[in-house]
Amino acid sequence: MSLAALTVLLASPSLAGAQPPPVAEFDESPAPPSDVLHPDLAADAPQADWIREGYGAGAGVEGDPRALNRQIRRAGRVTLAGGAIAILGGTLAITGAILLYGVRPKTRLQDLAKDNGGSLPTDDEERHRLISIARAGPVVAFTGLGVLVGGAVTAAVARLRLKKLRERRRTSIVSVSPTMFGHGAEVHWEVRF
Amino acid sequence: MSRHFYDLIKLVAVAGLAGACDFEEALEGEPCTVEDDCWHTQECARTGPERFYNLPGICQPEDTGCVFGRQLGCACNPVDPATNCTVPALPYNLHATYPRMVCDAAILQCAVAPPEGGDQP
Repeated sequence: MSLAALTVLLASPSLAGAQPPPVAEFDESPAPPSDVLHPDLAADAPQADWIREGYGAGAGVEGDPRALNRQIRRAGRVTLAGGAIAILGGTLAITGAILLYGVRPKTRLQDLAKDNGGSLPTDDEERHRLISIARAGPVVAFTGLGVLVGGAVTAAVARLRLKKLRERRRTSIVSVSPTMFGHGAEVHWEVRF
Repeated sequence: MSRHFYDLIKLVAVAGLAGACDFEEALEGEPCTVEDDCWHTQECARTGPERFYNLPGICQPEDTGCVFGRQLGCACNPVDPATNCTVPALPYNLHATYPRMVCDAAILQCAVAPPEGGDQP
């Protein structure tokens, strides 16, 4: 959206009452183009004295910047959510690995068999607990892996989109073009965001 | 960071697979009395006579059934020494607690051997 051109008239008497500026003795101004309908008014047309600054194209911003801001905020939230999910998945995966390699249920089962004379005791609580840990470990580990990968992919895609949206939203340098004409002045500036 | 990320994934995947395979082998052939004594891909193969005599069964892969010629009440082959019920399927340290068996030629099943002198247990 571009701001509407803001016109400031400084000490301007009505154009109707303004006297045209005196014509220079040696008027070397180029002849008006053939498509000028009113050559007398063309003489009063404002001539910009200053060089237009800034890099704005003057075409205005396409679309509603508020919608763009909403998209940027949403992309930011999705990026953070994806990162949080990836961290959760990583924690689960590491927990599963710890269950298998930290608790070491197989080694403890062998120790249990040794303590029982060479074979495992039947209907034993410790035996059942170690079997449950050995069974849960891979499930937790692979589930955590899946969540980690899903979260990482989500965060990566959302981050790319966020970067592109931010590049699209760029504040152009304010272009200011004051113009003097007749007995008045006009200031026109444009901001893109 | 991506390199550590992939290393972590590989480590966890290998840990998970290794853990699952090891336990099935560790529990096969172990004595059992309930299904929870065995791995989730195994069953506690315990015959009727074993339940009657309060003897443990054996953790076996699912749908395998009892150990041929080596468990009380299981089918046997009286000719083959490996499957004529002379060697129980339980671990060696439990052989002393298992009754002596013979392969009944009439029904071709492992039965409790008559005690010395012919008295029933």
